[in-house]
Amino acid sequence: MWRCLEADLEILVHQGHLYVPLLFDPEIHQESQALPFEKYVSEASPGGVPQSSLPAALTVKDRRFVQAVSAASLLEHYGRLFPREHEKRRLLLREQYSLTADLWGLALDPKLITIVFHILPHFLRREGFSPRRSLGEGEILDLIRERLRIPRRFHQEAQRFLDLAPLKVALQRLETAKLESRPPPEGLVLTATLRAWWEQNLTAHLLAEERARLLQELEDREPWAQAQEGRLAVLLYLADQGSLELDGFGFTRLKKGQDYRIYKRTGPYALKDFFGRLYLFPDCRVAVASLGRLRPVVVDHYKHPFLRQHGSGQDICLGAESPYLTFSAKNVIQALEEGINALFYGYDSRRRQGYHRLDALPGMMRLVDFEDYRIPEDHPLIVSGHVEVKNRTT
Amino acid sequence: MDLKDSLRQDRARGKKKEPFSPSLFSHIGGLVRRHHLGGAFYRLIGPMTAKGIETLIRAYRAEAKPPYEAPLFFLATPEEYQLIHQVLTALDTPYLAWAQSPEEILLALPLWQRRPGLDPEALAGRHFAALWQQD
Repeated sequence: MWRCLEADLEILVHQGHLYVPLLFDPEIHQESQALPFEKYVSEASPGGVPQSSLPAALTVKDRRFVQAVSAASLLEHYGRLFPREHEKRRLLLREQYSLTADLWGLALDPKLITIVFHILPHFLRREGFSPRRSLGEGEILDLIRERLRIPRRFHQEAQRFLDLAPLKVALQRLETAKLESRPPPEGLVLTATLRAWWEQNLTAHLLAEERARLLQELEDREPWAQAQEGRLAVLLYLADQGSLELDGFGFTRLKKGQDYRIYKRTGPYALKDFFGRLYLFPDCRVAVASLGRLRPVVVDHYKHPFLRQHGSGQDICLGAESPYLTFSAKNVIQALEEGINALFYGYDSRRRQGYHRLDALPGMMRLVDFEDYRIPEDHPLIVSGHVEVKNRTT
Repeated sequence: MDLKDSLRQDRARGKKKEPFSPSLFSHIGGLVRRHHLGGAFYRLIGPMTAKGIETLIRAYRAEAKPPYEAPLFFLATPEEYQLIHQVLTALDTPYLAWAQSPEEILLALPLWQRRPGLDPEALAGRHFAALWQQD
């Protein structure tokens, strides 16, 4: 269809639908003999009334035309069919109407919002707040602000962001542009005429989209304009950095795209083997990635009976019944807790669980050895209570 | 041969892929569009006199066969369709499938009438004007 528009042809437009000249080969010629070709009657001419159903084929001056697509679909689907060209046109329009400079608002990634406002509070130690009460967005940002040093430039950016004047001026500039779209020309038209109509309407279409985007941005920013600048600076900082660590909970933006690795530190802990001997496990980060299935992994170079080998980025053995979880605040919390619980409480020296055993039985081949983790029972960390033995009951 | 073998042979035969070749309509259609042929060309076909043939042969006998690859499918405008249909009706000759230029289309019927037993290799490799004379 797009090729037809590029060629120098005459095509028929009837009730907003395009009819292209019928081309022939022997089969089509034979079939077209049986096809009823209605004579085209313009709606403007006497007796020409809009028909409820469009004819599949029409004749004008002994030329045959068959129904193709609707003219409106050429506008609607252009972006999907030619995303690059569509984006180029949009950029050109933005340049034409000076919409490119100093307008970019706080385009916060929805995943980052979920992590900061819905997952982080679950793991945050809160002094002075009831643990049962859920924290508001402002309170969370205040908590982060207290513990983080936000660079000065983010405060300046926040001030600039709160200034809505450039956005309003840009909207005014758009108001002067012609936004209304015209119906396609009716009857036999040259493709050049139809192309001109399409260009004009596509511009109007894109401008309308830009206007809607700016209005949405204004709507988003207005509540922030009343909020404190400091809180906004925290958000701008998080959006820029894409990473944070507080109270052993943290997240980092992955290199590609808008996905994150969300983790929780275990801190050092001890496990007991079958003979009651203690093993001190160092701190590690149990993480899930917001991409695809949420599977808890140990990010650091680590060994544990529930990890296959001594290495980094290993899946924690959760058994066959672990559910398929995708990214949501509840699921991330569940996946992280499942991973940590498996490391802390999953090991039972009396059962065959996980990949390895802490204690070496005589004649047993050991792929991963935990002898270097062995500590005496009166180890100062255990005695002082700084490190807890997690599987005390086994 | 029992039924089982016959079925097996049928299936084996069915699996064989046959190379696709464009139809004669597409072959001529491609030439018509490539050389912008119209009604004037059809007027040349009808009264192809001995003198006309002689002129063509003299002009093209030393020429190499022009390269041409027929389109796999061809959709013609009404004018093109009319001309292709007229050519196919007027020139009822198997040599038309090897014509690769308008001149060869014109020579296809006289050549077939003169030398009907030419092998496909010769038709595909040499200009029809060059094939006019006996080797």
